[in-house]
Amino acid sequence: MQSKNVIEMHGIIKRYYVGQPNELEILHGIDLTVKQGELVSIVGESGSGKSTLMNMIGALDRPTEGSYLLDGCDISKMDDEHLSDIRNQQIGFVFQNFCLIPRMSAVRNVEIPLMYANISPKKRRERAMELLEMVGMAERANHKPNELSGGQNQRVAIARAMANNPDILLADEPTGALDSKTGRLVMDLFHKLHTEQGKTIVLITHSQELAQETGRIVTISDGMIVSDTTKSGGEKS
Amino acid sequence: MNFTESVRLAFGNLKSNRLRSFLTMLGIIIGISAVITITTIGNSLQKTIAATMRDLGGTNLISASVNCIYPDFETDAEWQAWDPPEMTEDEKLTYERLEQFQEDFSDTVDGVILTQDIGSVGTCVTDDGEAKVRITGATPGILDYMKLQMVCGRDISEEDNRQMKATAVVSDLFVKYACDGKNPIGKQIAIQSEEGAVQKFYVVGVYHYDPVRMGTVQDNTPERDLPTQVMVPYTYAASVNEAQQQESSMGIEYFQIIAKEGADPTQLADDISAYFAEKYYAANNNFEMYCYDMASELGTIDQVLNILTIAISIIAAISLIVGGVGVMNIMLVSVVERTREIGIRKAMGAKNKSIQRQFLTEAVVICLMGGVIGIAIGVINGFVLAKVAAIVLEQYQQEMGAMITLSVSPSFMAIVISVVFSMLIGMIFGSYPAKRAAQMSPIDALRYE
Repeated sequence: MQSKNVIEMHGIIKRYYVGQPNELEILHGIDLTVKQGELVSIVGESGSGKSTLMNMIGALDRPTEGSYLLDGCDISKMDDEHLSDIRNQQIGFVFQNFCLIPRMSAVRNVEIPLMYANISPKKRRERAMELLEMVGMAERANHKPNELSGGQNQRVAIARAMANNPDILLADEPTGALDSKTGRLVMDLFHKLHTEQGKTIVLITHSQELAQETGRIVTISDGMIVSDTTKSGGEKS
Repeated sequence: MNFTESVRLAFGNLKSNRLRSFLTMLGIIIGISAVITITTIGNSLQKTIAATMRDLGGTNLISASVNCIYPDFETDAEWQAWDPPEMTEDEKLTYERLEQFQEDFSDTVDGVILTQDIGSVGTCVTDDGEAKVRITGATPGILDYMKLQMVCGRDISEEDNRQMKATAVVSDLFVKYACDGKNPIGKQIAIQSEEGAVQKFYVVGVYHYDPVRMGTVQDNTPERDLPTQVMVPYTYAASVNEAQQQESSMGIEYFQIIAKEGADPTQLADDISAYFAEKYYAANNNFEMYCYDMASELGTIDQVLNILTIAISIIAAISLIVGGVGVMNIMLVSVVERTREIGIRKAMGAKNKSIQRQFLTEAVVICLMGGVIGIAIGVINGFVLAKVAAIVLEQYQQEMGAMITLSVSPSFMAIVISVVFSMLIGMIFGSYPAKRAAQMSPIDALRYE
């Protein structure tokens, strides 16, 4: 079965301080294609440019040069307004430090992307509860982040990332702040979402161990992709 | 994210920071409550004064008096040496001349009220009893003017005055004590003054004696010994006084003018002064007709209140601007504090304008809440102060012989303006912090610790 390309990046270059003496090029022409339903890990040392690449994939930033087709739409030239919609509808973020809003309960946190998608409060609550159920956090729906453990918070964050049923889940070191046991639980959840719901998941990590769990490992170093291996098919490029 | 959503978010946020929210509002609360307090007092006073004036005889009255103009004396000796100016016969104001005046002003003047007492307190003895009286010569309409109610019979008429008839309108107290309650109309009464002179009158009417109107509320004299007014024709009283050589060397010195409805009393007062200056005192500028109207008096009080309101409003405006700057300051702090939240929201798909609206709504809600609390405090303040004023006024009430009806009413306009103004402050001082929040880069915001 030939599935379609969800992410299609060609010659992505990112420079900071363009036109200034301290101009800095972080990404030197990245070509990356991710098919629907893939579980990819992007591995690299800190400073390798993987965070910048993640921002690019997550439509948080625009490349200086190159094209980025997300689900067939070129978003490299889109304005802020449209990028917001892309982030809202097509991408689900999971961060290392959870990034939950501390003064809001778990269920209210999960409701945030739904709120920006203009879903009515009633439907929002239903959907949020459904998602919390899925990650096994329904009983703790009214707890605030500081009343939950790290693993629980990350599960809430995953529920939030899934809120608008996005095409891609983008996870940045999702187990980085967790102990190995809870980290395992979180990883299991990702695998479950991958196998049961067929989600495309892009996992950014510096841990080779974690990367080995995924079907494809893209290694980035110094702003360039240095290797791209698929478990079943061996070296790709 | 719609409007109610923003408001809900704003309230949630303010609630999570109660003390800070309240302190932020304080400037707005003080400013708005000051404005509302002062406008409530001002509005209440204006209404009270207007109502009292209406009660006293209305704003259509003009008092006119003949004034002798004094030169500025430098020393006592100068004053001693000064010879008061004399009036020629032509310059003296008489009843007939006032009739002429009334005719000349028939478009704007409804009537002229003249009074002149005969002697001081007199006694009237009849077969049925006796009563103390004061004889007052008056032109027609005196009872209306004094807001006294007719019990039976009629008021002093035009004809009584023209023919110098010895008619009299007596009080119901007089009837009670001198006539033993029997109807006195048509009967003749004899009044003996303290000096011994006796005046006889035919009673044509009875009026109800109202202590408030007559200014005797606080008089502790027993009702029986209270001298009540016996109204007689002005011309009759004048002729009696003339015969006793009691008349003034200046003719009529003082009278009241009732302006017609629709005429501007202030303008009319000026016109009357000018009329007399031209017609009577053109050759003798030692005299003038001084006219003074209740309406302009009311206007003066209004003016004072308005100046006071403006002064307080300026102070309040300064307080509001300071309050607004406080709101802006706190909002800027709040934006920095919530940088990560802004980043998270943006990553979750919040648009710049959603973020901007969220912070702007918060600023407006703070200011609006401050405004509403301020209005509530202001109205309460106004009521309390007006009640204090009422207690003070109550003591004067009886001395003045007028009913003071205190009405407390906050100015509706001031409340509306306050609400709009506090919202405006929120918008003005909230827009910059909101814009800063909206323009944050999501990456930087997410990375902010």
